[in-house]
Amino acid sequence: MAYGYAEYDAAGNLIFDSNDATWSILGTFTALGSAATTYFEFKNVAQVRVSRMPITEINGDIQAFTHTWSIAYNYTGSTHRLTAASPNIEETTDAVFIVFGR
Amino acid sequence: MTYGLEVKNNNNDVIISSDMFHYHFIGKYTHTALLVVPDLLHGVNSPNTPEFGPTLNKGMENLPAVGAVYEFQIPVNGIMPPMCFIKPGETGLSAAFAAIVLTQKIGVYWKIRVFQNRATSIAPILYCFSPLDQVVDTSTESVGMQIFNASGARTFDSRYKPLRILATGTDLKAPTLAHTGSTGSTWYCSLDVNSDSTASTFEAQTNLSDLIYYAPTLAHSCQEHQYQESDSGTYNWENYSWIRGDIWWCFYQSIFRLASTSTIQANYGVYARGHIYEHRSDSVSVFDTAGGIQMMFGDMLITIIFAVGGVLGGSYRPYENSSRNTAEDVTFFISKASFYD
Repeated sequence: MAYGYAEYDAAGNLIFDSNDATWSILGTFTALGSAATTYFEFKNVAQVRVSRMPITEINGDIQAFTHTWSIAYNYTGSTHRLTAASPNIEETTDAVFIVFGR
Repeated sequence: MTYGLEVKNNNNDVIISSDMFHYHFIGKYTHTALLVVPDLLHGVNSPNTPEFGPTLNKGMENLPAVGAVYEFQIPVNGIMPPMCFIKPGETGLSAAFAAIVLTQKIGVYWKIRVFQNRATSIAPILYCFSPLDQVVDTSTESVGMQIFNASGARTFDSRYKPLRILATGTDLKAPTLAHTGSTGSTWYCSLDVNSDSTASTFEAQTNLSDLIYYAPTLAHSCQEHQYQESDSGTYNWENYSWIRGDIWWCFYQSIFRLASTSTIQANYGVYARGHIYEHRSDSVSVFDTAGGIQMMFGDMLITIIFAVGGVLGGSYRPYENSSRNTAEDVTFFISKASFYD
């Protein structure tokens, strides 16, 4: 590489490279399906990716809604705020939100 | 930041920051069980003879094949579930589709289920990652770099293979329906997955068979075919009457495949399927004028069918035409298995 940051282990294997599109974790939180809205503030960075991972099933019925979400950028000077909304508090699965940034 | 470490690339993206946590490799896992969601087949016959109505297709005939569920057990070491990338057994435009459909904590492990629209000779493998506070600290390696945040917690440790993401996208979305067009005719259902796959592109990579992906499935749908018919008349000196009603249904889960080094596709697989029916018939001699045959089925409607087999109680899969989360975009990440092998 001509510039940047790379890291190798003792055997000489490349294990980290600033040429990657690597995303770091800004935070994780669990949004309950029974909660109409859940808020989560995280570090203000230029780019954000949000992943939802459903972690429960609705008892007796595997048809279920997942949360919708939106981000208020620069909610405070140093943070963004994510709002997760449950479309139906009886038929929405709990979900782990992972917020990535860089 | 006033202290700590921050590494950026030439796009000014933050690659490493002591203020951010990083996922690290906790292991790759093969499945511990291969499951298939059992069919729901339930019918009532009285009697089942051709002269009292059609007897054909009272099994699972014409229904599409159900997919395979690979079950994994990932050790628990903390409250957050692992981030699991799928290394599919197949890639390309003819490959099977697969996605994680269940993440559930069971005692000392996470039960992860990967649903694939068909079993493959090479099973999917999971490459799993967790934040450092959930990585079992076993390394004896003395070379590398650790980064700590202001609280003294490790946020990066080069000894534990930090997750390297090569590409990502935010617009992966399932087709609106799994099956388009007619769902069948009379006693013949047509519920196979025939929707065109949707696709999302990402920055081009090399070596398709080395790629792994993380994309939690969100969308699912159910489609059904119903048919009911009845008749009455005289046969062999008997007045007869019969009625038969059937419902065939499939429950589909949205799943994904790596179609090329720059494309991931979404479609559906048949996760569960069922067929329930009720076929009633009776007859009386034409010389028996005491009872009217038409009275026998006065209260028999197609809705009777739904009361059998526990279906109404929600104890099995849904059978109604419906879908969930089809408008939701899935965020996906791409990495390479060889980084961690």
